Amino acid sequence: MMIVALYFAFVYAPTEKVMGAVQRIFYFHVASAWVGLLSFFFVFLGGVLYLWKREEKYDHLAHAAAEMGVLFCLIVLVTGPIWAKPVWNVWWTWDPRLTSTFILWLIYVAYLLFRSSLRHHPSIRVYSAVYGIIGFVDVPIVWMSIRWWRTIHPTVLTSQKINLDPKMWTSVLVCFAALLLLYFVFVRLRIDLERTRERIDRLQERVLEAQS
Amino acid sequence: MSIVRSLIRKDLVIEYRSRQAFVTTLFFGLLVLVVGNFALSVAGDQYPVFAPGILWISFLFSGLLFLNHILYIEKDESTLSGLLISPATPGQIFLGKMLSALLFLIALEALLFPVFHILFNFSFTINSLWLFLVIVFAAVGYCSLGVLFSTMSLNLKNREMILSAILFPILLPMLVMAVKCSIILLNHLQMNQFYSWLKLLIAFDVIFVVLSYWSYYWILEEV
Repeated sequence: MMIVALYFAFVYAPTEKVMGAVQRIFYFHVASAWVGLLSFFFVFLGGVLYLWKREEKYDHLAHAAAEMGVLFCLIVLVTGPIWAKPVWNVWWTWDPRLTSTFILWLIYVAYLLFRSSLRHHPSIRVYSAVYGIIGFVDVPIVWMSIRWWRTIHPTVLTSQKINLDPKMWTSVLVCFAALLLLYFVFVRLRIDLERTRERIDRLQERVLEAQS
Repeated sequence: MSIVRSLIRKDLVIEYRSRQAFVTTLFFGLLVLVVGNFALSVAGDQYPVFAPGILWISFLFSGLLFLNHILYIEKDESTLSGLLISPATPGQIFLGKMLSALLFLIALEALLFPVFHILFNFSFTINSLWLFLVIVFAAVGYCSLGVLFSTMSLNLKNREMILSAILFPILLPMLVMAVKCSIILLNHLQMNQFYSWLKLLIAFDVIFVVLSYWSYYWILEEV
């Protein structure tokens, strides 16, 4: 079903396109950005719920959401330059949207790095929850300060919303729906993977205890 | 509050006995200023352009050394456990650590500040006082998040590395605000934007001091 949804996005979009081929990346680029942002909200939510309820599943959600958020954000950060080079003739500019997304990506990569150094540490879930909450609170601050930072040096860029007539808007929404579905499947799989991994760890411990 | 005062005094006395951490970090801060000059003064002596950046890079990296140190001294002889069974609440322990780190950092910057002016040919005007105020506010935000993250990474093997990795992305907006303030002040530009940035910096401080203070309770439960 997932594949059908994804193909729908691939096939449907081109029939609407009237501009150059490289423009098509735009649909995935914008949709990924929305999914990425939503994902970071789930990291925050997972953190808050874990600190409140102390149920493992919320921490699993936060972890999976952080990984998927990093992934989708990476898609945004990679497809952006791929689109920008032929169109603007630059790979990267430090304009507000790009910079904020990049910083967001850095915060959640740091989250994952933190988690991996805390592996097997008893407090990993609490510490990750706290970091996830602080990271998300920082998001609006990052957005605001980067935007103000750039108003002094005005950027000579065309807006990414070129001209969204209804057909293109439909494509964006379809792409968003498809990627969102894909995202939820990934998160679900990742949570299951994490649960299995922890079950294996616990079984290993029991085996070791039984042997000694 | 007297508990917090005793905690601060304890850290100050420990440092006073050896003075090692402070002197080394001071020297490191100075070195970063010098490195910055060599790294960035490629197109002639355009100090007002890149010097504010160097000031903050020096601030960030010396502060990082301190933040690592301030919690690491509790690892020796497991004095952190001693703190935990003392009548101090997690919030008071946090305030004690944060204010000690803050005092050290401000003292460090107070010494490096005139040196910075001299090395980069800035005159001492009223703007310098404003700039020092910006440094103080930035230090508050830095120390609050820094003490929180330093405590979380205390028992990890790659402690120092992970602290910088998790601290800097969160602090990037503070860096933006601080550098913007510095550029306006050191270049004697229009002050109205400076006030907006300063207010934003204070807001950043308030948000993250409160958040770190509140989170410290969760962290200490686990240590």
